[in-house]
Amino acid sequence: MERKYYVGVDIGGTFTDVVLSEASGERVHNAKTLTTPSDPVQGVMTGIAEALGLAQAAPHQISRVVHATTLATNLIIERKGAPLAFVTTEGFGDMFAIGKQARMDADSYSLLYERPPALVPRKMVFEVKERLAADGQIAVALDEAGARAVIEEIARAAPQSVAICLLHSYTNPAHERRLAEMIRSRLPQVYIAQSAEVWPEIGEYERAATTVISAYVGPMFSQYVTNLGSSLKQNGIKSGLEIMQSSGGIMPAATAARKAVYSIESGPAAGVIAASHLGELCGRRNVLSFDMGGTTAKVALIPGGKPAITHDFRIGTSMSGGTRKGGEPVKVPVLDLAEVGAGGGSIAWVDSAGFLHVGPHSAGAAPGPACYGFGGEQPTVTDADVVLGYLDPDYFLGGKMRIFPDRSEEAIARNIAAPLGLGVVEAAKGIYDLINAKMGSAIRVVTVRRGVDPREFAAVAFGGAGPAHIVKVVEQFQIPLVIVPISPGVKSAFGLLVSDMAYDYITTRMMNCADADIAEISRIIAAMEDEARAEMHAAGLSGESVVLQRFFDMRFVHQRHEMAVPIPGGPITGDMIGAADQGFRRMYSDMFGVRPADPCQMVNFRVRAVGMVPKARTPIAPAGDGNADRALKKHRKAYFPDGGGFVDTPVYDRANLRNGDSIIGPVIVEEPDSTTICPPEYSITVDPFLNLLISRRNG
Amino acid sequence: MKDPVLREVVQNALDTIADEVGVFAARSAYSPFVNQSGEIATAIFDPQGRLVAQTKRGLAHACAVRIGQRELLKDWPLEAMEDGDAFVFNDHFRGGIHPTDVMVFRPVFHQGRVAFIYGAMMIVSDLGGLSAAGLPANATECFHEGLIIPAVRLYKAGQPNHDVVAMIEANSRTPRRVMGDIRALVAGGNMAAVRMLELIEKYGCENLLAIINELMDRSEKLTRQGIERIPDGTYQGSYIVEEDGIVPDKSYRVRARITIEGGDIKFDFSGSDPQARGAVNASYSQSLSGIIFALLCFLDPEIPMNEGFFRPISVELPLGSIVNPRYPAACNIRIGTVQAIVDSIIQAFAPVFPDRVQAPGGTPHSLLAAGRHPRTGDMWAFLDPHFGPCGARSTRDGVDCMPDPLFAGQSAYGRNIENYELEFPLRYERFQVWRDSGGPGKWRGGCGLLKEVTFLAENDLTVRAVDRCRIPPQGLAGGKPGKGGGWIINRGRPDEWNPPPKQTNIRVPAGTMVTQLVSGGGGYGDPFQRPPELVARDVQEGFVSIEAAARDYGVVIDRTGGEVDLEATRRLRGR
Repeated sequence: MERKYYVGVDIGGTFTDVVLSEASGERVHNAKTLTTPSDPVQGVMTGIAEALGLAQAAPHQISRVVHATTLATNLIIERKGAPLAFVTTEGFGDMFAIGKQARMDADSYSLLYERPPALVPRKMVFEVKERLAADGQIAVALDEAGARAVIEEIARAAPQSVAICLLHSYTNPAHERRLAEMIRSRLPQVYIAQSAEVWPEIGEYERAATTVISAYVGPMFSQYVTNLGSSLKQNGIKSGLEIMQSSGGIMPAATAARKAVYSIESGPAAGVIAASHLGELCGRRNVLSFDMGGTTAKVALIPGGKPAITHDFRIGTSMSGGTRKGGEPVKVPVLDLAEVGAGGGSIAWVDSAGFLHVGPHSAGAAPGPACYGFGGEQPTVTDADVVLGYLDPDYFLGGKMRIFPDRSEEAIARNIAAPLGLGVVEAAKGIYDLINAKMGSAIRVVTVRRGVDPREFAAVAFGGAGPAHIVKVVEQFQIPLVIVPISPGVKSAFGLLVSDMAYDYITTRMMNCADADIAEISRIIAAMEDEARAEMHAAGLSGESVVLQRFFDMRFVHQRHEMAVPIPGGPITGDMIGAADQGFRRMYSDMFGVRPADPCQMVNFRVRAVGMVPKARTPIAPAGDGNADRALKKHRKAYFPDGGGFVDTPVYDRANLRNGDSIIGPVIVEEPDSTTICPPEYSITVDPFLNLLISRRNG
Repeated sequence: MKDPVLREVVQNALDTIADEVGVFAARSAYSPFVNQSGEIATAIFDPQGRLVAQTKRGLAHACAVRIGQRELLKDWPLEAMEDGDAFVFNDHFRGGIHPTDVMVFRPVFHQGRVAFIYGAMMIVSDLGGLSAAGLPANATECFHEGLIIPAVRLYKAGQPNHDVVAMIEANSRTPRRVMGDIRALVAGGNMAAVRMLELIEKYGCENLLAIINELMDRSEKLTRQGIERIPDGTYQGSYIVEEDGIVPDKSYRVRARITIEGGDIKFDFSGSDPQARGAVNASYSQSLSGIIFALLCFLDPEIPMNEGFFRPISVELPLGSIVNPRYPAACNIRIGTVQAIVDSIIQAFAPVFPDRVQAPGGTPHSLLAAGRHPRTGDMWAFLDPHFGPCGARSTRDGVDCMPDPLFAGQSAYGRNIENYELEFPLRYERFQVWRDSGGPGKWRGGCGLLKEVTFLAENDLTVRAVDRCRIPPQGLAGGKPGKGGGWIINRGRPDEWNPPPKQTNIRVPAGTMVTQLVSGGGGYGDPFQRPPELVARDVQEGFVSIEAAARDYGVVIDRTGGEVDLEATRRLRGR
């Protein structure tokens, strides 16, 4: 029988990664091609063709294509989204001119501060006469004649899309729907986003911003998804196209085109899913995903195998993790990542009091680290790694790229070592330690800060730079185990092939637990679950392959921040509400260390539908002979202070390591897309899935 | 320079602790103002009472906890403290600001001894006083502003002190909320304790304190370097506070005299007017926060904030003046005075920092109401503050709508209308940019806000525009003042009236509509020199009307296309 294949495609800023997996999981083929920004579809097709070549397979053998892209994020960052009109309730059209951003950090003291431009220019904002009360009652009926005049004005402004957000529409979408209908009949070509459809949660500013962002990326994103779909068809790939959402679930391309805002963080999400999958494979319930690239490091916590999801995401900021106040809010579910400006390209510098700093500025790909020889003169983390002997100048990108180690030394000597009065190696070690501490702060954000003990987790390291840093990053937290998967540089693309289909639903209805309306809650939950089943059915999934999860967002009366309490299936009962009340109190005292006796309330009801789809499998590798010497390539000097300085360190070729091998550090393991550093006090074993498991010796 | 890396790692850890503890505590707060704005100031001190680290939020509160902590140690020497204690404290003659700004302190014990002390401050929902939220506009004594809490134990060895809780609850209009808020501060302390103990375990207590000493020296060095960049000499500035809400037609002046000698700086406010009868007085710590904030605008704001930062700074705030009143002065409306401190310092430095000149901006306008909920019968107390926008700068426009930098961390659209409407018996009619309120100039002052609300139940209304309504934010270098804001009740109805900027407990029936007008910032430079295309853009974006474009800027904008009529503009400007 002819083999079937699954394809995962992850488009990043520089590279398009393609992973082609046999459906049986026996063989996986990777391809890395340059991203083609003007027409990303081209890079995708090149990558797929290359991977098919490696597999000696034909396009028609591909039965799934799953895709993650930074397209939506880039449209926002580069401000290249669709010209749009925003329609809201009369009296509130200045929402974005007033703005929700706050000054942060150094901006707080800047007398030269300039605020970022409004999300929508005022002349593209339109008001309609209508008003709902907080309970959903119509206080002022929609003025249809007035609305028609407004729609004529919109038509004259000729936007590509229209975002609608009316006050309290989360509780009664009637006016929004009618308005959308009227706009659609007058302007059938225009992309329309209604707030109650995009994310019907209380809080007009966040809901409006989310809707606007959806309308902003919607037309291009849906066009792109359509083009990619037809390109696949033209190239003989008959399978449907699926898109990764920011929440880590996938959805069919047609749905993704409609719900564009759900996919803004699809790339990072794919990485978290890959780590989550790996944890499951290795029998580790608790894993920490650590993804370090050129400019940022992303950390996510995956407790009990389930990555956490946030609804406090903001677009247009670098540091994340619950403290975001810059940028515009996006309320749809996003995997909870802490992201710091720390990567291989982060620049090291010395301040006027003689203290060392690394980042947040990055040399990026141009001019890049000093060792690239592209004209970069500032020392970066990659330069420090080169000086310390962690990266091999002759095996950069598997030997495909030539680098200049003397330029790393020069840059560090001049900019860091001289002003600090240190030797070049000590200075490089300082850079290495400091960037590791900084990435540690991202781990702290998702663990200690939330009352989670990091020692209960295993860290999964990937991204090009991750495996060279991970051991020292997690040492500060006494994390007992590091897992480096095979091909860490394309791990996110692999993550696409192990994700499930997922849809999220929300209904806002405030209700105290003490006087919960069981019938009303049952109705709310049933409505969302029916919709979930219908959408899953449309995507070809039903029966046992669909799992519905329920959550109540709860808080003490008068609070503003809720906690999502998981709720069991089955009919809603008084006992269930009682259990939710208790569950919330327990979660709250775990987190805050205080136990208020105050009444608590439910604010939002949520349903998440998960549809199980066929996934790439990872086969068990045959055991080797236990003698890792077969993989020994050479020795090179690498710096390990705990080993006494520069140590003649063995370098192993990962391709030749086998299940059951074990190696004692210090050791370096190389593969084309990444280098793993195992310091002297640590050792590596190779597990049945060919992951490197790194832990402290005798520990 | 033995281990610069370790020091940096510890500094990062301390900064992160101070910051995240504040964020964490704010998330659990009950007061809608705090839990939507995250405005909590937190700090860590060593056993000698020296500041070790501090949040970068709550800038207007930043110095209170430092002064309050010193006073706490007078009443509660370290040996009197037990592990698990938490103290609550709000005396504004001993570090506080006004009664509703409450401080909580919690010692962090290590091996039976106090190793560090955590302190935090936030505005709580209500602690009594003449009007809702303890922000009466007509207070003349601290007793009018709420329950005064000396440093007492809220938790004793980890157990709540029910006597203190009962006393606080009995003195609040919203007992559940106020305790929720205070408990949020304690939750922050619990977390700070865990995090500081982790650091102690990792580095050892002695070693950690030694590193902290070095960090203090480093902050001192960076601060001195910054001060040395300002030429030696004496610099002077002053700004006005329009009235105290009690004594008619009397204004007050804040006067700054700054002396720089090498790496030392002295702020002398001896020339400031005597304290007011009304509540516009700024307590000592509150004035100090204003001074430190303004100074940081001229130094590197990334200097880690600890005791070392304060070493080169001396401050003279004469007792009995508007910037350091005697007991029992009322202080809740002090922000106009604090902004006058900031503006007088910015003005003083104008000769040496010509690019950082900023015309005065608006001040906070708070609408407060209290009543019984018609449906539940519960007492409700409502606070909706808006912060004045920035004045124009010497090189660019003022920032529209966004709060003056002293309120960084606040956003203009700080609180959602939908949440307020779900919780309180009211409905908002509009929330808009107050067009034409920005002071005209070559660089335009930031526009203020217009917010209008109809109350659906009878209530006691307090309007509290702290300053700069009758004497609006002034222009600089030929720029015009911003528009002074205030209040309109029942706008456009036969019974329309304008209450004064500050008035307390106006009993109003259901159906009353209140319009809140937040003053615009002052302009900079001659408005007739403003490039016409910028005026046209302002008209397009809704900050300036076509009428004002002609009247204030001499720029004629075509009504249909929104373009500048160059010929007509030339004629108008040529006059």
